[in-house]
Amino acid sequence: MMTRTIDLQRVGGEAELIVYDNDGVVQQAYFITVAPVRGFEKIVKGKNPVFAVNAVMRICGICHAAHGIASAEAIEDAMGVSPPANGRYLREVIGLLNKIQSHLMHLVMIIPDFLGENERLNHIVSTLNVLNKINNILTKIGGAPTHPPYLVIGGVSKVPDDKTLSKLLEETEKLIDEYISYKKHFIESISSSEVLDLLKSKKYEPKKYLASHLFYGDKYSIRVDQIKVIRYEDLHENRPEEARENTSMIALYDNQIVEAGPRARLYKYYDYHNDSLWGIQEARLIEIELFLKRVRELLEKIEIGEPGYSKVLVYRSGKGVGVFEAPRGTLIHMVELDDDGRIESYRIIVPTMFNIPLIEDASKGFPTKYVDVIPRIYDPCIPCSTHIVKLKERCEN
Amino acid sequence: MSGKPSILIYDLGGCEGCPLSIMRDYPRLARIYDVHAKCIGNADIDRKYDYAIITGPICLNSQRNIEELKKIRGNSKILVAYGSCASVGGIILYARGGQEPRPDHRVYAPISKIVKVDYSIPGCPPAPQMLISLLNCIRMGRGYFLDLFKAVSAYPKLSGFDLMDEVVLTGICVGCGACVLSCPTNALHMIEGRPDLIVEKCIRCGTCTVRCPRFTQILIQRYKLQEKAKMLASLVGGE
Repeated sequence: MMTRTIDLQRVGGEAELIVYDNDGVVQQAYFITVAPVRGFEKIVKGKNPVFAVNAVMRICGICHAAHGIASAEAIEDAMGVSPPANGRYLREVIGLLNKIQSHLMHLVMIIPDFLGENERLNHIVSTLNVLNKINNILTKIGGAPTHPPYLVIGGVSKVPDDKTLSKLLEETEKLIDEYISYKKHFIESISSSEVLDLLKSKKYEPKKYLASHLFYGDKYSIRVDQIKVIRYEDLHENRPEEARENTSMIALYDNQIVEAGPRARLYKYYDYHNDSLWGIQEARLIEIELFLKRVRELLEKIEIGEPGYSKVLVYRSGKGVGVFEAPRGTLIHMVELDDDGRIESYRIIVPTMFNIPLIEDASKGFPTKYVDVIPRIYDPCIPCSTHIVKLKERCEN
Repeated sequence: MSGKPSILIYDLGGCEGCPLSIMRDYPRLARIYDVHAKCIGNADIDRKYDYAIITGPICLNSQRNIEELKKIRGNSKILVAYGSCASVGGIILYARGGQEPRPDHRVYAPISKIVKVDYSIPGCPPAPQMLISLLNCIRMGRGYFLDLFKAVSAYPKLSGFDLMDEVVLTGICVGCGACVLSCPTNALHMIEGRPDLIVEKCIRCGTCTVRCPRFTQILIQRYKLQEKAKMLASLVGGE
């Protein structure tokens, strides 16, 4: 048996995949994140909640808005304020655009797996064109294409005016058609790819899917108390020497390994089922279209002149939970405020923590030559997964 | 590809927002440069580069990242710290460590603490045009950005607090509002014609300081004096 450490490129962040290989087939795989732990849960401790929203958004430059929304939801829950209708719609739009951004960026990263050197660049450029249009829309609604500043506690601080709104609607309309033709072209051009066949023939499904909502996130449809966070060592008790230096944690739901992400969302709320690994990518492609249509629907609902956020902050003690469907699955923020309304404790559970065991499991039996595509198809987000999670149970054991 | 200058874009444990913001302008960049980045899949820190663009902060407790950074410095002619974390520390200066699974990752710093940085561009994230303009300036060998970002690389921290201390509270602010427009978290607002900092929103990214017409002059002048002082000291004492 041979050991190989693959330095993963084209994933969000720094990670390695350690594989044990026999005759060109993977026997065992370890997904090791190597980015340092920045400890955002500790950074926000003792700080004003307003700072917390801006801070946790910086956990990740890929799913920035998802963190911002989940954080704002959690703090609102603790303070007992809720956003007005406009704020709720605009927030969902920002979240959806963020998901589309992330999915498109992921496409840029995964394209080289399917296409040869010559066709690659054209496809990357056309994907980036769509992405830049999404960025423009997000800049108008959220204030910036990365880390949107209009996301505040209580809603969205700025409602676009009449003129911008109708322009945005027009742009979204055009973008939907553009994306549909882009998707068709993409699927046609990759149809002869070897990796695609491999992914389609690899049947792999988790025992359970975890998702809370198709578009937004609903803390009442999952049971937050059923989530258990364990250290990587506890997942693999006999892990080898090479797999020592891991910087992320693992999350279980109902004591089970579950899959979160696009396939889980569509499976639960869209009547979509695909048991091959390709299903995850296909779900992503479907989602972009669904999300764009939902953005159009939401933009039509916005009432000009109505407020975007409830201009009340209640500084008092409380506990709150915020759940949002991030690009990679269910994201959970939990906050506790002290008597002055400052942050006493903060916990974040990110979807990649659910997916890491699946990446390792799905790699088994896959040809070693192509095995780096498996983490990529699950699209782990290492900045998120390595910068969080404090463990309570650790001391008790 | 040999004719084009090569460029490496590398993240050292930041949020990846900066490399992705550069990727937005990838088509334009790729026309002039031979781009190597993790998200395209051709990053290799063992080869030589003309430019290295580093994003993300350096964790002083992570030997691995420090080694990577030193290696990249050795392999590149010009090193640019791109984004707030890499250039001036940004939000990550607040890091306290103590978090599982690696409670020992305690101290984060801008990369200029470890290696010599040629140019620093603060921003969370900076507009990719800033990078392209800077690269153009470097090629031409002159330009405002060249002086400014060179000067910023000598500073270990810059934030809205510095802007208040050095420009607004000292009374040299002209009230142009450039800082208010530039702030990525809307932490600055105009009160009686002068900017004021909403402290709980400031994430110490330093974007306002490089947009302020007054502060940029202070930065550039101070840097020149500092260099002069160094030169004089070396003439007098040999050190």
